[in-house]
Amino acid sequence: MKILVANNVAPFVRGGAELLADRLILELRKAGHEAELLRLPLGRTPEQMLDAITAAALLDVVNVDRVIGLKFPAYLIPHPNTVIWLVHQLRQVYDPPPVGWGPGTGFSPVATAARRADQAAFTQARRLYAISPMVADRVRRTNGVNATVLMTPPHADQQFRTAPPEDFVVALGRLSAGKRQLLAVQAMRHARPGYRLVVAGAPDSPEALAQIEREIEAAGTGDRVELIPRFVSEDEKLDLLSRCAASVYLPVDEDSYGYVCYEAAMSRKPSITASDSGGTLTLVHHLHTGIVAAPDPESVARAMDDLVLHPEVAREMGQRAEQCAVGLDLSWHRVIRELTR
Amino acid sequence: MRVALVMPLASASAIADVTLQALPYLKRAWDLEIWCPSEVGLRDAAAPVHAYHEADSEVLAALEGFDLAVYVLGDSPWHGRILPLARALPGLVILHDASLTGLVRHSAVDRNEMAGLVEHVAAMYGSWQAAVIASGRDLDRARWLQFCAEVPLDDYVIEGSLGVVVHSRWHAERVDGRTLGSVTVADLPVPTRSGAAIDDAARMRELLGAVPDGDLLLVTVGSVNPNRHIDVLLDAVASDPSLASRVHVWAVGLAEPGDAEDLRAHAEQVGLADRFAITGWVSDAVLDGILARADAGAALRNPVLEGQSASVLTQMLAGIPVIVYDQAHYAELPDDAVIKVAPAAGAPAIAAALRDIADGQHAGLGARAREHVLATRSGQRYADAIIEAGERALAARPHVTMTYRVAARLRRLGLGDDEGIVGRVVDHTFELYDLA
Repeated sequence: MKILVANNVAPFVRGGAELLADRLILELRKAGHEAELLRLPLGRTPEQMLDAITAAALLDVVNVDRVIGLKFPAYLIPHPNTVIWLVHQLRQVYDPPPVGWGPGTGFSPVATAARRADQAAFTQARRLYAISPMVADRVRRTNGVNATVLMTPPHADQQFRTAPPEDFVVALGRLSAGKRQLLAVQAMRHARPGYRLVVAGAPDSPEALAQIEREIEAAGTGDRVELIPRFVSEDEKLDLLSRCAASVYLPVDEDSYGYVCYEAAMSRKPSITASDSGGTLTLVHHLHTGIVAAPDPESVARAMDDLVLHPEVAREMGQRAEQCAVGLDLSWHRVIRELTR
Repeated sequence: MRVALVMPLASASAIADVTLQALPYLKRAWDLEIWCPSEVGLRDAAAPVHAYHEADSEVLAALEGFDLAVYVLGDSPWHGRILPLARALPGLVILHDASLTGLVRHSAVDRNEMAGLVEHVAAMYGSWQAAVIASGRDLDRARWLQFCAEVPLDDYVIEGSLGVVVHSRWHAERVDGRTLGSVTVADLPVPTRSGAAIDDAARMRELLGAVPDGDLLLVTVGSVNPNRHIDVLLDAVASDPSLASRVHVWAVGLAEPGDAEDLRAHAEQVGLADRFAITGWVSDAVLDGILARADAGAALRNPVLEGQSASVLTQMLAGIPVIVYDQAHYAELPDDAVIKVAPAAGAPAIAAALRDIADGQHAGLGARAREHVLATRSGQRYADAIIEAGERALAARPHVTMTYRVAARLRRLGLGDDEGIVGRVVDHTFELYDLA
C-alpha cells in the first residue's frame, strides 16, 4: 500500500511523537509498504490554529491508499481510507485548566471547531486506535467513540541490561513542568540519608532547569541531587537504568504508558510514579511492579526510601515489571499488522 | 454568450411584463432563451421559450449548458418553480421584492424542504422566527407583514448566487454582502398597459360617476394590504373638515375579504363611509381612467416589502402628485417629484400634504413626476443594467467556484458553518482576491 503518515509539527521541537512517526515509517517500509510522512503545523494563536484546522480540512490527498493519522490537526486530513492511531487530541480543548483553555482566553472558536472536526474525523475513520488506555478513555468520554488500544512500541531496539542496584534513584526524561522532575527533587528534602537522586534529561526551557536548580540550592541538597541537564545518549540512559535502585517518573496525566517506565521495567527496575500520572499506571502497579505515590514530596520520598532501603523487594518488583512490560506485546509487528489491515 | 432567462411568463405577472420590456435589448447582446414554469395562458415572447412543469434535474441539466442563467424572482407563486433552480445552479438573480418570505416558505413546503429552512431561519434569525416559519401564518395579517419585513429570507434566495440585480439603492444596501458576486441597481420600467376591453367604458362610468365634479379623488394603487396604510390615509382626510367634505379615497386593487371589511369599518368609524371605495381588480384601461380623473395618489408603505414600487411609478407616470413615506426606496425619488412624509408624522402630516394639494400648492409636481419616470424608465435602460450585471456575474464565477469547493471540503469535517473557521477562510479570501 501507499501509506501517508500524518503527524503535526512544531518547528525545531522533537519529542516522542516525532520519534514514533519516524519509526512507524521505517516499520511500514520494512513490511513492504511505501510510506511517506506529512507534517502539518498547529500554531500557537487562535488564528493560527483555526488556519491549521482549515488547512487540514482542505487537503486533498492523492495517490495515497491509506492515511494513518497520529496527532491533531494532521489526523483531520480527509481521506476515504483513514486509520487514526491517536497519540492525543488537542487536550487544551477537552481538559479543564490548567491544561485546558479557560474561559475568556480567546480560544473558544478553536475549541468549537476542533470538537466538530474531531467528531467528524473519528466517526469517518475506517478504524480508530489509541496509544494508551488513557487516550482511549478520554476519546470515549469526550467524543463518545470507542478506540481500540494499540500501545506504542519503544522507538529504538535497545539492549537493556541489569546490574546490581547502586545508591541512586534515577529520574529520566525531558526536564519540564509536565514531567514534574521538580517533585522528585523536592522529595529529597524528606528522603532518608544514604542515596542520591540523578536527574538526567534536556530541559524544555531555561525556566524548567532554573526551578530545579533553585530548589536544590534552597533545600541544600546539592550533595544528594546530581543534575545532568542535557540530552542523554541511549548508552548513558541504559547504563543509568541498569545501575539504579529504582526509576522515578512523575508526569502529570501522561497519555501513554510512559517510555521511561517501560525502559525501567525492561531493565528490571521498579518505577515510582504518582497517582495522578495517568498512563504510567499501565506498567506501575502499586507494590507489585513499583510504587504509586501521592503527588507530594513526602509521599514520593517515602516511596524512594522503601525501594532503596529494601533492595530485595525492589529486585522482585523489577522482575515483575519486566514480565508486565513484555506482556504488553509492544511489538512493531503487531502495530503494523493492525494499522495496515 | 448563451443566456437562459428563467422567468414567469404568466399573463397576470407584472414582473413578466417589465422583464419582457427589456427582452429586445437583451437579445441584442445575448443569445437568449427563456425558461418559464408552464402555466395556462403564457405571454408571447420574442425569444425561444421552454416551458417546464417541474424544476427538476432535467431542467437543471439544460440550464447548465448555458453560459449564464438569469433568474427573475419575486414574492409570488409565479416564482415557486424558479427558486429551486436558482438555489441549485448559481446564476444572476433579479430580485423584485425585498422580502421573499412567502415564496421561500411555500417552496420549502412544496419540496418537502421545511426542516432545512427552519434550521436556516433558526441560525440566521432566531428560534421564535423559526417556529413561525414552521407553523405558517400563525399571525394576523399586519403582524405577518411585519414578520416578512424582519425575516425577508433574501439571504436564503441569493446565497451562492453569481450576482444580484435590484431596483433601488435601498434594496442594494440590504443585500450587499449576501451574494458572492456584485449587486447592480437597475431602474425598473413601468408596467405596460393592455388595450381596453368592451365593458371597460361602462365600468369606468359606473366608478367615476360616484365622484362629483369639484371633489378631489385620492387613489392608492395596488393590492389592499395592511402595510399600505389606507387607514392612516382615511384618518388624515377625516381629521380636517375641509378635506372630509370633498376628498374621496379609493383603494384601487384586490383586497382580502378581511382587510376590506376592516377598512370599510374604519371608514365608517371616521365618517367617510360614503367617500371610501375599494374597487377590486380593474383592467388597465379602467385604471388609466381612474388615474386620469385622480387629483392625487398615495403610496404609504410600511413596512416596505418590495424592492421598488411599480405602483408609485404608475401613479407618477399618470402625472398626479403622489404622497409617499420618506423611507426605503421611496426616499430615493426626487424631492421635487413626490411629496415625502415621515412615517412617524402620521395622519397630521398627510392631511397637511393633502391640503397643500387641494390648495394648488403642488402645481407642476405631477408633471415633474411624469417627466422623471419617462426620463429614467425604459426597457432599454433596464436591459443595459442587466447586461452589465451579467458581465459582472461571469467575472464572479471563479470566486464562486472556489467558494463552493472550499465549502464542500470544510463540510467533510462538519465545518461548513463553523463561525471561527468560515471567518478565517473569508478573511483569507478577501486578502487573496482583494475583495474588501
